Amino acid sequence: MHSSGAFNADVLPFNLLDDDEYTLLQDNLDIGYYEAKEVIISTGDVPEGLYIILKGCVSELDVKSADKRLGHTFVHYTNNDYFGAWSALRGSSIHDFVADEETICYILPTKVLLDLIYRNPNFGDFFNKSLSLQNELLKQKNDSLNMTEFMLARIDSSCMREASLLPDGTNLEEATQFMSDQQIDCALVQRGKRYGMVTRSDLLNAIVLDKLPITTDARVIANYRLITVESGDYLFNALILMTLHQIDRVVVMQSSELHGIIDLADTLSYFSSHSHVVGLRIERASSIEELKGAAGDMGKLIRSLYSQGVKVRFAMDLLAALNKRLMSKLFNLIVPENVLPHVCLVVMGSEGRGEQIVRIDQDNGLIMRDGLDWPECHETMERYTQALVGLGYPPCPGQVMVNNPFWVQPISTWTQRMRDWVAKADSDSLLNLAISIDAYPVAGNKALFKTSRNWLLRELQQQQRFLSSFAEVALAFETPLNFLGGIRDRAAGVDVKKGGIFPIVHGIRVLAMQYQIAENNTYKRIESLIKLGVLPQRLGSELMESFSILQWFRLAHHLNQQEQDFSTEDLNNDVNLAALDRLEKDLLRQSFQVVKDFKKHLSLRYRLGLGL
Amino acid sequence: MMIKRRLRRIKDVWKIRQLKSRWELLFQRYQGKELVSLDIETTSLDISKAQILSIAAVVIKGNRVLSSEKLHLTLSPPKDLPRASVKIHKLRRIDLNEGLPIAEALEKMLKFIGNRPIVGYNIGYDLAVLDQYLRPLFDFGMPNRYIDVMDLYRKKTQLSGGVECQINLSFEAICNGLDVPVLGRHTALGDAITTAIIYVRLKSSVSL
Repeated sequence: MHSSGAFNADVLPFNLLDDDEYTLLQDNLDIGYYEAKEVIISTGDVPEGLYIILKGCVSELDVKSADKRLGHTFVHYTNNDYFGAWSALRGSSIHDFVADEETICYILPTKVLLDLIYRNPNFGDFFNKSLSLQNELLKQKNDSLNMTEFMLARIDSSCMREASLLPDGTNLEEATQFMSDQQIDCALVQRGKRYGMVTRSDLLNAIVLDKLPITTDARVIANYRLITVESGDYLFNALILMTLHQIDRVVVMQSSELHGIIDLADTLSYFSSHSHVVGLRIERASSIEELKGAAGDMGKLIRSLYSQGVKVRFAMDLLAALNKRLMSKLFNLIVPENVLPHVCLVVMGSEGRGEQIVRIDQDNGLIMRDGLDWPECHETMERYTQALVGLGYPPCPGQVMVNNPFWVQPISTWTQRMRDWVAKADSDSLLNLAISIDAYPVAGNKALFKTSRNWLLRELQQQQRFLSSFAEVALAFETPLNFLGGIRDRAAGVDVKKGGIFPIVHGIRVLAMQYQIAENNTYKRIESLIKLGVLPQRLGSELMESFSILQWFRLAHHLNQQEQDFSTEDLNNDVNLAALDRLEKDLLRQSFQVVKDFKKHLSLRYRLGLGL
Repeated sequence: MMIKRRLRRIKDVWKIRQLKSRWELLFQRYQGKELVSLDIETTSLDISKAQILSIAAVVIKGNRVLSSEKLHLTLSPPKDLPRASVKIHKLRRIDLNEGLPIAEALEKMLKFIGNRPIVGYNIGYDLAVLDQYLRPLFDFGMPNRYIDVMDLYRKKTQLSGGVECQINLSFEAICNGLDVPVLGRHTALGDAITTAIIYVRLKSSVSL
């Protein structure tokens, strides 16, 4: 850390500066204060230099029209973020930078910024990096709406509709008239404190199919299980919810106040990439052949997400939602309808955590109701596995698939077996447990899965001894750092999975088990652990960031290998250090350092030998 | 105290005119748009006992705090350095060993500030202490017009609140109330910059 100066130099890229350079920086900083909505740099201006936000929030907008709502927001900047570098170096700004709220910024004059870039190559690299991203943005500037900005769009009044509330006692006829007059296709009703939704198709079904009299109270047919999002959340999350629940609308709440409704059609207008189109194709598919087309599109989607620099976590969420839908659809196509309520298809491992981007393998299993008589079970599951392989989900090398009878079990055997694994705790058992803990239900009767998961969470919590030996697995692979803190390079490259991703995933999994956290996703588990005070805030955030960085390197590596026509079985996790620039190496090294700290944390917590 | 200061200042002006002092410029009315935020760290809160340890000042211009245009002086250590005060400002004797003699520091400060108005938090105290050292050496007290952010804050909050009530006027409370980050509390430079941000924030039209 640098001396007592007020400026926070602990963040990238400023922590790349040495003491002299830092002093130069410190001596030349001014502080600007901006009111909410004040334009800090407008398009065409020559900016004074680099702006670093001390406190506040700034949007980078493309303001073609005077109406700010139509301006495309490219980026939101907040505390410790910086902006204006590209504009400063290029000479003039191509976007407006507007304070979203009162904002205090440091301002570093362009001349000093240039001095620092020339003096310190690492610092320079960092700006070149972000500059190439900015160049990307410039290229897309004239395209119609693009993914990047879609990802950044937030839920506010510009993208949601007002929620129309039907007065109490409105009957079906009046409700139909109301919607027709207002030209809306859904309205809300209130029952006590709960809100329910009535759509036009609900009305149609009620009157035509259920033959309800048109004087029926609209509250009778409303659906009270509303899926909600918080105002201010990313619009993207609303889309994920719609994708996941296969619905067309979500209700926007703001601290438990009803705020509005987001319609799929509205989000589509924000949106040009194919994720929902893929989703629709999956939905409409009536044969395995048709699913194949949708599955093929997902490969393209991954590349476009990657090239647009979408955050790894968002890409994971989106792909996971699509994968789950595809698998569920396929399952429904293959398994007879009368069997569906008695079985539950679960995905496990990385798929279960929702962390697979490039399809590496399929890990799945089937939990059945006790005493289910289904002679065609094995044959059907074999077909399912083969169909999934046909859709581009490679078979699991460890045979964790539904065509393996070992992973197709009645619920009592499924749970009893987990108990045996806990008792036995040898390496095979621990591996099987790790896989099953991350199970997530995708099709069939999800209650079967919930029973088994709740049992597991209760059971494991009391097994401190077992948790200890389970935790030790996280230390199985050495962190690829040498004793000086540099990355230990092997001829084959650095294995980011064994060296970094696995210890994080597994360590977090053990902690999540101990504290009965029902989440599967590593990010969500970490967030819950922070909330519970199990993980220190700082370590937790560092872990999430490192996890993203490592996953990003892995994704880049896999895509690169795919381009060179590696078959899926040949994909490895060995990132070649020589191909990375200084900054990338630095990021990787820092991530491994965090992994090392986390292992230490685990060792202390579970009293393990320090096998770092 | 304020009236006494004014009277003294008039006397000072008269004296300076008579003497055709090189400091005459300091007493001219300032025409520009800049202000200077000032803070000093001392050994005691008792004006008569306080010895100056460091002086810091930054320029304010419009909605900008020109922290690149700053003055930060450390003084040579006083004869006694009370234990209690070291805990607050964290300046040990050893930190002050390279410090300037008081006369040199004051000269630099006067030149830096010039005739620009001064902004400070509870600035009356700082000025009183400075006066005590200035008079024997220069034969005049701090000549500048000054604004106390404490008064400014009180006025603003009363205007918006409407009710005459007890307002917490501690430095931290003001920062909190204005959502201004506290930078390096109890270092002269940190406090001077923070005070400057408070001033800019209070001067903006945003209501509180």
